[in-house]
Amino acid sequence: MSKTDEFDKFLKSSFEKNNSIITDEGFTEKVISHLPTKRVFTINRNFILYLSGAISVLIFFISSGYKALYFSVTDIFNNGFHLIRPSLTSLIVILVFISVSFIISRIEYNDDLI
Amino acid sequence: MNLSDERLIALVLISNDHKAYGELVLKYQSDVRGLFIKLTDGNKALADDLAQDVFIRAYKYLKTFKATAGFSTWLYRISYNVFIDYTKSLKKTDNIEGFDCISDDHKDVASEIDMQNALKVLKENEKVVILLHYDKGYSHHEIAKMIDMPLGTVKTNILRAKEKLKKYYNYEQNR
Repeated sequence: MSKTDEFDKFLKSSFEKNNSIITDEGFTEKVISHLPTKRVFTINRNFILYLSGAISVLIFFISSGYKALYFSVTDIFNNGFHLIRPSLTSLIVILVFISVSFIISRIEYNDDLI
Repeated sequence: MNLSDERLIALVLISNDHKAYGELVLKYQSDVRGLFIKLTDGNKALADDLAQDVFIRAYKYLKTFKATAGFSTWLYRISYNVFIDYTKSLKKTDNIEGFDCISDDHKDVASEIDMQNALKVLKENEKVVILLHYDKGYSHHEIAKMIDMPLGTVKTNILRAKEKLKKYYNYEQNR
């Protein structure tokens, strides 16, 4: 074995001799108490729901959606009363309205689960 | 809890779980504090302050941790940066204080003091690379990658440090 190898061995064993486990003695607790608090930007889920709901209602009125809904409902009622098949447009409007209402109620339901 | 490092890191990143981070600190505190005790010539209080800085920095930058290297390797990299920052700030003020307080639970105190004195003859960079190589068992390549130092410089530092330690221990004459 060369002198360099011997000295390498000597160094390794010297370091090994001085490698004892350092007991925690409250060190971890000290570190945890000094950890910075992370500022997480979160938006309240309900806020998003109410905001999107309000925007939807606004769009509904601006685009005269209430008229379409009113005519569709009356059309279905009148035609149903006279046993005539309602128009396809009325059916689509009602179907979309019911589907959207159902989806929104599901979002609220899932939010409770989270 | 007995979770893997990856799982603990995920818990910290996803839910800011301090308890999970505590597990990581508890697991690696001995290695990091041990390294700093040697780097600071046995100054346990200073070593603890620097080690604390390492764990706080690691927490802040945890999202940049890449699992390609182990968590301990990443901690040693941060330790090197913390130590270099500390020595830079020292150069503006004073030298590293001598060891005022060596861990009480060491069995071979004389040997430890001798080791601390031997390390005193080395420059900061030489001390870091020699400890990472002989104490922590990292290869020259791993050290170069870990501390962003050219491989040649790492080898030169180790060689120089070895020569100095040989002189310190009168190794050639004693053979």
